[in-house]
Amino acid sequence: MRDVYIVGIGSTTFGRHASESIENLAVGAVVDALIDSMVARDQIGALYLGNFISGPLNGKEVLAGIVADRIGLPNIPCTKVEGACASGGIAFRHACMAVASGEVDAAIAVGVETMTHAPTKQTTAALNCAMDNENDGPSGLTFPGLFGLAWRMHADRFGTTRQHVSAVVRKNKGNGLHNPLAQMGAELSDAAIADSLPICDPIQLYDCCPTSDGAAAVVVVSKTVAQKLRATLKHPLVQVLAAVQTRGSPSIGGHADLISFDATVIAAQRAYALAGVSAQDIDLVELHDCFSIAEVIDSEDLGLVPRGQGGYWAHEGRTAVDGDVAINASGGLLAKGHPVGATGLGQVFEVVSQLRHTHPNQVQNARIGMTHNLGGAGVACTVSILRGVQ
Amino acid sequence: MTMQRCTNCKTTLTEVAVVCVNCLSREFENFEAPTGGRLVSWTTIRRAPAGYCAAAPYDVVVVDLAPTIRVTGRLAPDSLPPSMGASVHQVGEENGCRLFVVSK
Repeated sequence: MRDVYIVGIGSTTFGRHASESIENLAVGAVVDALIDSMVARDQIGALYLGNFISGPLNGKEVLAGIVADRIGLPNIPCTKVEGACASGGIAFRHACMAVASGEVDAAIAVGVETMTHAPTKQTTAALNCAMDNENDGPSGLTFPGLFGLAWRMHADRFGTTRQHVSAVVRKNKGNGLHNPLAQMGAELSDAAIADSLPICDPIQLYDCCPTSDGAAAVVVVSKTVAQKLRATLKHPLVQVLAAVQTRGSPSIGGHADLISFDATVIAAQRAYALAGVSAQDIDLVELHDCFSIAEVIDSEDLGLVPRGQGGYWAHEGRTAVDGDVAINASGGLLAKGHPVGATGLGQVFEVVSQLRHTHPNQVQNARIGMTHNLGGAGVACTVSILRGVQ
Repeated sequence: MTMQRCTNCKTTLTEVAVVCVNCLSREFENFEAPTGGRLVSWTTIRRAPAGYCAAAPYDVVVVDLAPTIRVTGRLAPDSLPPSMGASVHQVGEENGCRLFVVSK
């Protein structure tokens, strides 16, 4: 397989974009990424678009072709991919694979979602399509409920407390304050978090990511194209060392242990092997903190933090921007927001900004970064490892 | 409680299975699964999805009926309070959802 490089990134803010159509949000991010990349439109060989619920919430499909048409791309294959909350990460991997295989020399990955225009009940019903509803639906379980179940088990086994998990919320909300793309950064006290609206015990409102609108895009190219562009680009190249996708159980009963997601564990192991690095080499990660306890679990599943220590590390500041490993310096899903199909590409945008050393919450000497995008009840997962080429 | 398993390899299967996940056989047989088990975890749903709002708040539970049989369900409203690892048993079913109570 050929080496793959990221040469262009673009992103809208995450939050409310009530006056813009879903396709125009995506167009904005793609055009920004193209300009950033200096790649001409006629060089693009494929476009992959990650999206989850444009059908139920917008009444729109074939978004990949629509976006390509709006910006005058050639008659190339344009494909929408879906893996619930991991849709963006899957689009990124497909674009990387198209280049790595030699099929094309340049490809676009874009993720997009608009959610804030819809009533909460409609959004909840649409998001619940990511469950194995035949098995888990009759109980009235929700996604916050899934992570409530996981939290209780983590607390029972490892002594993880409300205070530990609140440290994740305070960190990510605080990081979001400095990220201009973030939807809701905030300075929160432990008391404010603990006293917020109960959603599904022990999860409170501040433990949940918001619903969001947004789009993010990247342009990936072959090594030959990257070398030609290098002299004219205004920023360093970023190499894709690994872009892995895995499957896990779609249902609760299929998980051997609710405090770990197999799909993440396996994806991380494969990514480390492909990249030729270990967890200790990772300077920063943007991981899937859809709920506060998810960050604790993900950090352990990715091997960045010893099993059971995720809450303790957050509480001790070891996952802060200046910690042992910087987790969600962007603010993560909790503060930056979670426009579902865009999230995975938003993570790539953030990590590339870090590796270019231009991030508003810059991790000092950032050299290798990771993204982690998880869909459904752990049914789809992507992990990528990126390296800055200085 | 009646559940189904693969006739060929005896793997326990969910109600919605159409092939055995282990050997791809389509031959199933019913068997009597235990009604009692161990509470693996629970959460109290206070913001319920459409169709469940009238029942909220309610406790969703994960129960191990046997080492290889993990199911989801709800605690019946008149159950004793849940605790991790508690003994529970099924007392009925409501719209496809198993109802459990914490054993005395």
